[in-house]
Amino acid sequence: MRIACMLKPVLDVGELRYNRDRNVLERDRARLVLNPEDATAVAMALELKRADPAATIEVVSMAPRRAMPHLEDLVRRGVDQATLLTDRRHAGSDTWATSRVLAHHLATRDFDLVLCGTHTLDSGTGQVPAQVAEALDLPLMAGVAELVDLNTEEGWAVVDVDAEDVVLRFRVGLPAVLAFRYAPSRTLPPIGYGDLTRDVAGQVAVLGFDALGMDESELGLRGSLTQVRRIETDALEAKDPIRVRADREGIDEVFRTLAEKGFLCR
Amino acid sequence: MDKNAVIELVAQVLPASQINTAADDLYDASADRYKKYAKARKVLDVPTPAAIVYPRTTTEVAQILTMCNEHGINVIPRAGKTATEGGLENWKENTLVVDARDLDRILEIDEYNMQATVEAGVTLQRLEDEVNKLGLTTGHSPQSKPVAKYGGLVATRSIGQFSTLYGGIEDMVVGLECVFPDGHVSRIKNVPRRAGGPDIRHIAIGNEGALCYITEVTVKLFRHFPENNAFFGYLVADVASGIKVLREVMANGYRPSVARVYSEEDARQHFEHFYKGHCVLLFMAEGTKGIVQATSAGIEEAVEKFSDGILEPVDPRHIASWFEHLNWSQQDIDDEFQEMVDGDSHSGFTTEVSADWATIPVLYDRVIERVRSEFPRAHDLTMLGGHSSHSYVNGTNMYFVYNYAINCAPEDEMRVYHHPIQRIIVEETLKLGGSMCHHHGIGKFRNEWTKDEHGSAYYMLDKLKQAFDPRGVMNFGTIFYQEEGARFQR
Ligand SMILES: Cc1cc2nc3c(=O)[nH]c(=O)nc-3n(C[C@H](O)[C@H](O)[C@H](O)COP(=O)(O)OP(=O)(O)OC[C@H]3O[C@@H](n4cnc5c(N)ncnc54)[C@H](O)[C@@H]3O)c2cc1C
Repeated sequence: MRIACMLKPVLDVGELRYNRDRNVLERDRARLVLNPEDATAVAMALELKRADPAATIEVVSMAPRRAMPHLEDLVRRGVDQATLLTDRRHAGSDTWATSRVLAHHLATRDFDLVLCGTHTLDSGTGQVPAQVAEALDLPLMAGVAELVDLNTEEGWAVVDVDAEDVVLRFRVGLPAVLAFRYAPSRTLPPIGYGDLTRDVAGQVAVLGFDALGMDESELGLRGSLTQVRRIETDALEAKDPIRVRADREGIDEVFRTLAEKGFLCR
Repeated sequence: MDKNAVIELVAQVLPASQINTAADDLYDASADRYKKYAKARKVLDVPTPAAIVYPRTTTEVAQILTMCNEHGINVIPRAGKTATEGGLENWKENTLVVDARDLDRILEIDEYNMQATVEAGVTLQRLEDEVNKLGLTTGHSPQSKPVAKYGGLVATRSIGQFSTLYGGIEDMVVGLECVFPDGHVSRIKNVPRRAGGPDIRHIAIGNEGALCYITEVTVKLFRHFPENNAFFGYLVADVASGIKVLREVMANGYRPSVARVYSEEDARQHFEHFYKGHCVLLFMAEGTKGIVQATSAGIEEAVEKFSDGILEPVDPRHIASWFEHLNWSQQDIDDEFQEMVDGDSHSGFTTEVSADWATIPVLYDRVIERVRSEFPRAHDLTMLGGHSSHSYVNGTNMYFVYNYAINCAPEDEMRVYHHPIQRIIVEETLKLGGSMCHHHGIGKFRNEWTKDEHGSAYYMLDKLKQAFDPRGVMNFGTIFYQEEGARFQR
């Protein structure tokens, strides 16, 4: 079984700071974390590999170079190969251009499954899995809660998809793109103590724009269908804090205030 | 000798009702908050003690210690269980944990002479509540106040949030009673001051259970005027700017009860709602109206003098309400433990050091720079910063705080994350002439540097151990390095 995983290291949104003096988002200072839904997908891939040790997993990521330690850690957790697609010329790529780059790389690989998350923490459009599937001419199942059954020999998988108040079960032909939902119980395995310092240079690759063999017009701002005209930021005003005591009256006051502001329905 | 033999021996000294051999309690007693994550995940690598015993009198403590000394049984004195540096961790197969639970009497509150006497198992909160009723305070307020007990507070040389005014526990202890491994009971009398040779209180204060068992403590009391408390807060350009103001206040002889500077990362943890991405400087002035007025004026003068580094003032109500919620109750500690069980993670660790005024800002920058560039798991750090929270006329402390995403097995957490960072902090501090442990004690995980900490004066420390605990039965591995324990450290 050959599994490809798409994974995006995202900025830890809790750490993002807006510099009001310079009017910019301070991206470089914020830490990178694995997009939680993508991490769920990689955890799923590692579970499959535990059940079938002959399975191979390649994680593909389009990200800045500082994402490298995170990819190396995935290899230390049991992924066979990690590929970082990185180039200054990728800057400004929207979901369309990003999907093209990922699909371009995946088209050079053989796989039975492409696993990824459905949404990312930082943009949450859910467009990349669909656009990659489209570009590779593969079926897509998004919002997957569970991979129920799998037969790569016969080329099918059964998945449960969470759809608001019902769970729908689908059988899908392989190869396919399966986009997972975040599952807190499906965590990446810890890195073994001996593996923490294991040299994994042979299992990670960095591919720049030139190695992809794409046309420059397909990339970055030029290759993006979404064009940002202007960014406006809300100016936040400091409000006087409302102080309440931790008692019945205080709770009522908080409730009243939230209801008045429309955050709660009475 | 095996554990059963130890239990048989202790049964000759204490009734069964004072001996606890319940498996869960013994597991809990085998480590403290240092390895709290491994403990919560049930993967501790240390032996469990043979039993926990609860003496009710000084005589019983003396009998237990004599028996342990004769038979080479390791003794771990225990009080409120809030130790953070491994002081309660067990490294020996044959160990008795001697818990002060039943030494729980407030013996005397002497309002006129402004002192109170308590047994080792009295929680600080209990005494504080009692003396508050009389318009007095102990002046001691570590964050663990609701849980920590006098035996532990004195044994660790603890310090509270109002230390700039009241001092550390060493400034509060008037006299005490302690028991040595040979069964000798020493009572150090309660006098305002004396020049009767070296100050022997300091053999017990800070001994971390490695020399003697503290059974009783007399501490000073102070008049309390909480209604006069005044709070001050400022956003400052960087840690060094805040330190300059702290120094100015202290050098002019003012004694605000609280004087702190937070790095921006640490400020974010505490003051998210007002810190605006900057460092925070804060003060609290306490005492009679006149003292508060004078102290407040002194703070404002210092802020004015170093106004270059001050960005803007903070609403003092923010500082006041922050203080109201700072202490940890037993419930908070239990909740944190449960979160580690359920959530498979925890936030991180701390290392507290001290140095003179000139050194602290340099030390802070060096440590942050080295951790960022040398720590192999720097990409897992979710927070790296610190604060200065206890100032003196000649310097201050730095409490380094670091949180991280744990990507290794729970049993490897300390050696993967905390130890490499702690090593950088300790190395830099000792290199610059500071102290590697400002208030948590050495415990078992900084003992490899005890000799470097004390230099040529280690001779004196070592002689104390040889004299008072020649058979090495008191809290094996605490303060003093033991090769046999190294396997639990790395
Ligand atoms: C949430 C939290 C906040 C904290 N905040 C602070 C703070 O602000 N300031 C501060 O200084 N510390 C702080 N600490 C650390 C800790 O609370 C102190 O070290 C405290 O003094 C320990 O007291 P304890 O009663 O819990 O002692 P224990 O944890 O039971 O023991 C601590 C050490 O003292 C020894 N010991 C205990 N009893 C005796 C005795 N009767 N005779 C001889 N040795 C004994 C033990 O063997 C051990 O080495 C904090 C800890 C926590 C968990």
